Amino acid sequence: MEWTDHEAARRAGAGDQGAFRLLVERHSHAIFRLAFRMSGNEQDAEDLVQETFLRAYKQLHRFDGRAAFATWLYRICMNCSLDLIRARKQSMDATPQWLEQVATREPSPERLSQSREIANLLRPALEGLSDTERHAFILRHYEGCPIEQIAEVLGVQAGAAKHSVFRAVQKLRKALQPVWEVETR
Amino acid sequence: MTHPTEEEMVDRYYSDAEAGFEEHLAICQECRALYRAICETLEMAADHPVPARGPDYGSQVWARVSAQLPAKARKNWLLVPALAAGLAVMFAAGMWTEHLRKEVPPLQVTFVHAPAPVLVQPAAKKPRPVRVLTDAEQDKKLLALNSLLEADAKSALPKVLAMVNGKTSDRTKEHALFVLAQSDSPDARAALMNIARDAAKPELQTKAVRMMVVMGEGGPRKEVAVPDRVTVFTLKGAPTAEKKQILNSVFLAANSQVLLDVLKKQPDAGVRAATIRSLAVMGERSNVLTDVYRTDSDDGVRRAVLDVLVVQQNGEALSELARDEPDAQRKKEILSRLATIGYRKIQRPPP
Repeated sequence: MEWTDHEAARRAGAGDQGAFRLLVERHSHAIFRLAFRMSGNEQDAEDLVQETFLRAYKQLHRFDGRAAFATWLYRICMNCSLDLIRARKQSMDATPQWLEQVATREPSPERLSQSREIANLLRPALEGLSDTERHAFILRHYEGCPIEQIAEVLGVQAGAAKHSVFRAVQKLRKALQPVWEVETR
Repeated sequence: MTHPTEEEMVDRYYSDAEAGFEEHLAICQECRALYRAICETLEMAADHPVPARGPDYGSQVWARVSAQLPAKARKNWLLVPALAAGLAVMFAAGMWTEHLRKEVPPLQVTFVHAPAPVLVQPAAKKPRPVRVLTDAEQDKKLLALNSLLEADAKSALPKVLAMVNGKTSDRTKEHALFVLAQSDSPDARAALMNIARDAAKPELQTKAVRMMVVMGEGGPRKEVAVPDRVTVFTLKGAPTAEKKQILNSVFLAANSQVLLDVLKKQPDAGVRAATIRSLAVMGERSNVLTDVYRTDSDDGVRRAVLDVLVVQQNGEALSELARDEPDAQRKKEILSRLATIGYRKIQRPPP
């Protein structure tokens, strides 16, 4: 039977593991994608996916159904990734590997030659964002989430979520300005 | 239209424009330059590839997650009454324990650990009173059921089995198995035997067999052949680690006859080698061990025999094996062990 997320979550909260399985199978890909963007590597992303669903199961009684289940999961994934980043900051470099791969959507030969420079500028810029700004930017820019959903994930008002995205873009623009200026000459 | 703010431009990049936005850019060079700068920035930080996951990725995640899920999620509305009920039951259990301490001899009161609350959650949709049972509470029930088993096994046995098979703690399950193991009721013994044969629940199976081994030999039911029970179990497909656990129990029960029986019938060489070591610690005669060396085809078992003979400093037995060993490599191995213990009196083969 094909339950809605809310119905499956309600059943899972009552102890129906089959219903929870449905939710895991339905949302695993999206959570992995987000986890990868947040953590920067596959292994951490896999750990985050697992931790997200385990936390979700333990907290199912807190899911009140007002938000979409996916939004609720995103929020848990964000919190898990924050824990991971904090732990990693204490032990090692927090640079996501994928930043090394950053390239433009339509890479011209000139752009390709600038990719490393862009990555070098973008890396500290993203690291310099606050957690809220970075999360808001990833959800908006890479996941294409609407502002309302980002606000729910971050637990803030829509205006604050929008402003977080804006602040992130401002900081990135400042960081990438040298490249942009070269291009516009 | 007035000049859009930078924040509005960022918003515009991701969503539909407000009316007049495009028209304004067409006539305002300053805003057009700013908007272009924003677009350039965001395109530089454009999408990057996320490693692909197959269509069965959800199932893979579920396999990992399900192995770690707690028994059951609890609903919010259960927490407060459950906590209150838990406190009430713990208080009652404490009072009851005080009462029982006066009546039960100290040696029988083995359940002294701090009780971990076990929440038994109702499956029905409507809220019902939550029954909270602690380990101590379960133990008190078991004490009562233990007496009842002897007088009226038919009514007591299902309750004990419910504790074995239900959502109780490992400790309670073990105590319930203990009650079955030390009962004189044939029904209880049969039930324990069924659990010991049920490979679908390996943890319970191992506990049951260990309980049978320990209680059967030292307890009141010597007439039941313990070796048969153990070999029935250990000859089947239980994991080696669990077989070794059972053998440890046999070892603790000082039942060398069972170990010898296992040694003869056990197809798992790792278990046979472990049995050899247990037998040696129990002081089994060296001729039993040397017989095993001569008859067992597994090199690991043979080495286990040599090891224990070295530990026993039994140069004579090793010398005897060296003398009879036709394989040059194995003979060399035995001689090197003899050298390890400093034994030089090698027996010459009879002329």
